[in-house]
Amino acid sequence: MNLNDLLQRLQLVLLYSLLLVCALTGTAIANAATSPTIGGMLPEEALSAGERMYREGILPSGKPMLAFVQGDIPVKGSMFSCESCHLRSGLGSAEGTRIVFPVNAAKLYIPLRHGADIPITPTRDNLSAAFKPGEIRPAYSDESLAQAIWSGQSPTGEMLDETMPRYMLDEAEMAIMVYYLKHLSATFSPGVTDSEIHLATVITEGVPEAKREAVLKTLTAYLKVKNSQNRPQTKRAKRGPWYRQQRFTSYRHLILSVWELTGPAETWQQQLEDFYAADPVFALIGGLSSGKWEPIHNFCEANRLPNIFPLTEQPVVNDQDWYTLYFSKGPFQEGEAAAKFLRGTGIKSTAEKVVQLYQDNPASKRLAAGFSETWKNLGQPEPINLLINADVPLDKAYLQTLTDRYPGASYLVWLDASNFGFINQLAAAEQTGKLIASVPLLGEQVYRLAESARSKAYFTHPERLSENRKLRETVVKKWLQVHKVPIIDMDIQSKVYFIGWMLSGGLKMLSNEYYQDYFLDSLDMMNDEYFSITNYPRVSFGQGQRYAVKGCYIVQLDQSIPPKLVPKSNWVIQ
Amino acid sequence: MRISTSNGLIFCAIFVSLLLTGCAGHDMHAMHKQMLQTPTATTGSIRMFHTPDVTLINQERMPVKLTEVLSDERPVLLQFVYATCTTICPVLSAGFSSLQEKLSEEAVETRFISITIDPEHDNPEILKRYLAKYDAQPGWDFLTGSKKDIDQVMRAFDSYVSNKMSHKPLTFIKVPGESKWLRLNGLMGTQELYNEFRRIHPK
Repeated sequence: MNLNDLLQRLQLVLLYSLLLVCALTGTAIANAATSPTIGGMLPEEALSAGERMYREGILPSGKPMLAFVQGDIPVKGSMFSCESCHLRSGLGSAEGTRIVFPVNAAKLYIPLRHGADIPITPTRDNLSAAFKPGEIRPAYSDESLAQAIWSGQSPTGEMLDETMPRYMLDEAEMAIMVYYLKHLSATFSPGVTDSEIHLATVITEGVPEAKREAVLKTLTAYLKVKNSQNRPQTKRAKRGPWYRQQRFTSYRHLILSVWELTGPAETWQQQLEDFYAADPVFALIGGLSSGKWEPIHNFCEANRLPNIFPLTEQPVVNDQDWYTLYFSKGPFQEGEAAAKFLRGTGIKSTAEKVVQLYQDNPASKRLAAGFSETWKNLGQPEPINLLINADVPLDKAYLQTLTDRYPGASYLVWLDASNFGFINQLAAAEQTGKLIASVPLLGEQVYRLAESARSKAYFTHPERLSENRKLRETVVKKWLQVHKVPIIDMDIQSKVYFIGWMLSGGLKMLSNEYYQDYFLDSLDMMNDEYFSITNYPRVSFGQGQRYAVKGCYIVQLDQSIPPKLVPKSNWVIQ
Repeated sequence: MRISTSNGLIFCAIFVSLLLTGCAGHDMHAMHKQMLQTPTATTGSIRMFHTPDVTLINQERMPVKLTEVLSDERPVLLQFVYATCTTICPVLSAGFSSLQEKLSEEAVETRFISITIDPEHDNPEILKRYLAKYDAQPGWDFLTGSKKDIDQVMRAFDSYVSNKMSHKPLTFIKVPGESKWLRLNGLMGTQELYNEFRRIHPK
């Protein structure tokens, strides 16, 4: 960044700032907020431009916002933006000893108080000053908000912490910024009343009845526990100490709807829109699909509706979307792990061929895509991709053709259990290098791998190893028994148990700030989870991280009787 | 229920701690108020840290032996950050960016090392994009590795936190020929960090 440019811009901004202070009537900003245009833009355009400034740090001109932080560190909006610290909802964050205050409309334009910002009865006049609710700052006006963003001066006249950047915006840009903040988390999201939070879970047609029951019975039991008021929250809200009232008044009864989607996936969006219009919900919890999840993902993205932990083998994999929090990238993540593992073993030259066999089904194609994309990012040449259609006979002749054509090659074999005989033969063949297949695709068949093939055959294993999940599974089973839920499918039920755990944590973090964006912001700030999750060694969170499970083991069968799967990689392979 | 003397003491202790907890609620808000008004002061100490013998990888996927990179013949600055951090890391990294530019104008060759404390998410590709965002110049590397190795490094530098959201704004500086580090706790401006650097590495 050119320092002279910065200084010139700073002078300009100071001039604007001075003009604004002199014109105490505040006409510039106030007029901007009430006139038909805001910073020269129509209201809708200003909201969109303000959102880009807030989230991406990019000015309407397309240039990055410029600021100084800690007094003299020049920063560009492309380094970090308002959202980085105040989060998408504007409700702020806590990092180490740093507390970032809310900048959403509902909070900025009322006085900031310590303790509850709800009326306190009785008023506690007889308490000493330390125990009384008190005002930290008065409400912001448009003018004082602009002043704080420009110079760091709060409405009390004191200076904000230097960690809050001082932004160099011209008058029009500031009007847009203020206009956006005036609309950011201004009113509670849909699905929340004074006494209830409405949630839904989406189940698609074609899901086996047992799996459907496993999801719904476990989720319903969890909500029943949450609604049982085993800690009498409503009573506490009335009688509790004033500084806890805000937290206790956040208690709401949880209501769960089941949105069943039927017919072709192309019709799901309309069905979802109809459900949402008839029954506005705060968030989608879990969910289960036998096929695509993309239409539901896209609906959530378009409506800014959170969906946490849908159970799907077809999650949408991209790093831009925000509203669906998945367990993992599914089969794609297994492919990624295979590529990183293979690269780490020293397979890198073009002379050593890598052959990928896959089938025309979503899981196999996603495994292949995950491998190919990662392999390419690792600087490796495109593997030889062979689509195994039903008309390709996986017999000895085909095996001979492969080994003749690609001697010494390593194989990614994304074939299902019906082709295990061929995988066994390929792994055992003398001319084969390493071979990697998928445990979820092969299931129990992997234990039938011939001893002669065990040294060369590896498998992707995207879950906690079985010997390490027994204790946690026992905890979930006990919980199910106590709450009279039949044990139907432990894989699903332990995931739903975890979803309930996260729902509790997320709602607790929300306190009584019922904004959909803040629900996801809150989950992003959760601690790593080790003990509440049975299926995976660890799940972790972070701002905008949308795949909580980060790893996938690469395992081999050992020589013990019966053979066991033993990890040959870390859970997360770099 | 009969309460023994020792149980009585325990109950007293719980009662007192409950009272304190009540006060803590108040103190927490007092802290917020104070933070609005005064910047957090930086504290510094000279400390010896034993670098563990681990190999991490940098943003180019190159293996980096930590003992070697931290005993560089140039002055070394070290920070623990992560890519999706709110508040602390963006300011720490912007500070690195600004100081790197300032020192390069003075032609002072310096080694900047950032180590992620979220290694499971922060893969080399993410680290590379992060460095580009902060205009990092050659000489600034961002390292990741296995969670076990990263935890070991954090412990060695008295920086370990079980939850990454609880981490502190730490900067470590070491100059050639010295085995001890200057450990700074706090967010600093460019000049303040430069002054600390010059305090142990004068012109």
